Amino acid sequence: MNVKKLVTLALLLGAALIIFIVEAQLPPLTPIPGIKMGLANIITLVVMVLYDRKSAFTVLILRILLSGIFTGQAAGFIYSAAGGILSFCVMAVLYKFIKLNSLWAISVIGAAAHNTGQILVAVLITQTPEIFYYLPLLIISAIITGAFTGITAQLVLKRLLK
Amino acid sequence: MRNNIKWIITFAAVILICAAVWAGIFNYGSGGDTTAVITSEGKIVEEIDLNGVGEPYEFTVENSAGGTNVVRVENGRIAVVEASCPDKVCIESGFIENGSLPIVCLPNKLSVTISRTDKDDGEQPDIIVGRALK
Repeated sequence: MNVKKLVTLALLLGAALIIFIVEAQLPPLTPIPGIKMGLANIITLVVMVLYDRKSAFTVLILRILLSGIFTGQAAGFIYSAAGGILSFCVMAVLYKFIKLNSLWAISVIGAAAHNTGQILVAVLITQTPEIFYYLPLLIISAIITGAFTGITAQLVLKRLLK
Repeated sequence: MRNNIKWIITFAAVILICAAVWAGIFNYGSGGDTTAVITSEGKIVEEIDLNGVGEPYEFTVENSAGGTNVVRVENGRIAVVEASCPDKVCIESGFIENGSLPIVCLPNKLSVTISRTDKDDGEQPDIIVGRALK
């Protein structure tokens, strides 16, 4: 890997970390577990388009690990990791089929996959299937937040790719 | 742009479906649910019949990592009033009175749900044949 790519990816990883940690300081918007804006996903999308999916996955995994260490919450880590990995797999598959103009749609579906992954882990850990009842709300939230982060990523890429 | 319109319509439809499902879930509160089940880290730690509660009382649930949640039990409803977790979502959930939505504290791996009283009662007969004479 050439040095320029390495440094750029490291910078983007730093940006993703900062975004994630700052967002984690905000008080929860609603009493529903797992609803957040997921702004760090903007970086994941940007790396995926700017370079390739393998780089995006690497940045994602490192961001999850490092943010878990920096925020020091072992409990929250597993929910975030499960959601993030499932979300990335879904987005990586869709990336082959959806045009760049509709990147935001990939972000939306990725956000929905992220929330669904978190719910699955939550149900498994707490052994209460009733948590699934939150799913409709989480999907609505995913569509809104996913559209926001996806459109932001598209705007960032439009300027970066010039 | 044409492609985007297709996506916008698809997601709008999904939102409508989810809103309808949610409205159905929220209003589904079957009257037979009165037993509160509190689980910590996947195992049941308390079962309380909410209809049989006299004076309101509180108790603390502590998990293996030292995380604590204070549960308040009143007649017909239950809530989490204090918690050691950073986000306090469990407290924001307020009181629950029926079986549709649970209270969860994901950092402390705690959940409070309400289920049918007869669900765990394995002693209920399957068939009753005959009747006692009055």
